[in-house]
Amino acid sequence: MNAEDRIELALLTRDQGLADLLAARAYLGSETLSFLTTRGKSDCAHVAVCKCQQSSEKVLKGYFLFHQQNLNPFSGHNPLQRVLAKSGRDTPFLQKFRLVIRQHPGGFLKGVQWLEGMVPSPPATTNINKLSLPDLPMNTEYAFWDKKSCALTLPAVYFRPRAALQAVLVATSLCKIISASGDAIYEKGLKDFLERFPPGSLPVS
Amino acid sequence: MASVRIPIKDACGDMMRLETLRQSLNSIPDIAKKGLRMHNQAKLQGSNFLITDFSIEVDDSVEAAVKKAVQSAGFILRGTPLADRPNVQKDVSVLVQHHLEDNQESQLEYAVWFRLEDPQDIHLLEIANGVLDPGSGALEGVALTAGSAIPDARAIVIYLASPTEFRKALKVNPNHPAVVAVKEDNAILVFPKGRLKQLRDKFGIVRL
Repeated sequence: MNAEDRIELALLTRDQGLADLLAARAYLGSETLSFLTTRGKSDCAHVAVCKCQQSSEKVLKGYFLFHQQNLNPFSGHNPLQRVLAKSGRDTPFLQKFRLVIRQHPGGFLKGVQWLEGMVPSPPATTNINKLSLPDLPMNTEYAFWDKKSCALTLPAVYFRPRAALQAVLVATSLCKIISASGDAIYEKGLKDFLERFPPGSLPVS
Repeated sequence: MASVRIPIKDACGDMMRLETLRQSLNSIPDIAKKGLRMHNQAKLQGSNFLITDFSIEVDDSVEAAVKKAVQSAGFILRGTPLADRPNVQKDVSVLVQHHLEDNQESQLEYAVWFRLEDPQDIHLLEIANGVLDPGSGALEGVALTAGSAIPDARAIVIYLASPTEFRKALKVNPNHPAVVAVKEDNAILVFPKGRLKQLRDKFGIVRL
């Protein structure tokens, strides 16, 4: 891929991520869209968590692509964990990025890791005859095993509005941190988005 | 003497409600000489009227008296702080009760309603155990459409924080409206029901 195409792809990946974040915010407060499932009352919080995960994934992938890091944007759904776990020789860009992320206080890093952990992933065994329900990992799309209640549950019931709010805060914080990391067109687009759609105001175009 | 227009929120009711308002306005001394004009559209809704585009034009010398008369007749002035409306107080209380049931991954410890002067949005600081906060102490608010939860409000802005994050905000963000409101006792502790003093004592905040 030539440099021009790479930059275009990176910016479009970012923009899709920002559209996902905006969509997540639109689902906040839409608890009236619910129905009684066999596991309890559903709402839209899981959609907000899901869209925030997708937003963070794309904003990070676009960022690494824009800055020419060797990370295939089309593989994996946990770019932060991949970057933090990456061994071998780092580029100065990645060294700086890791430092910024690791030095960020509080629950931010755990928050992004929590979001990245929400991607549906296959259980350890895909042989349905050998599979037991506790093998089904938590995610935002399919039924999973809730370790707390020791029961099978579904995302539409499990995720409550506060989890959705937390997801929006984490995804927004990620955008802020990346936007503050430089002055390139990628970071500037994030700044513009955050100014246009501040989290404390309803997202209205 | 200039005239002012006093906007009033849409209201539902029978014609007696308007009559009550008229009587209330007529009790203002010399009101007949104050150029009072009432503007509204009344649409029939079942056995009631929906009153929209509602405002009163009057000489500014009696503005305060007219506003008082409107409120005493059970109408709500546009721009009236949400915190001054009994129905909104009840709605916020119910909303926070719902939030208390939201204890899957985190548990609500305190809910504080601040920026009480806001006529459009509800601002709720929610301190919850188990929240993965951004760690910056920014106390970022996230706006939700108020919808049917609080029909009088446009948005509910929730400032979600863990106890640690709130402590950090007290240090690094002392001018945040939530922090200032708690210090100045200009907020409502919605949960647990009580006085802000208990929150201040818990976090070692000195009242200003």
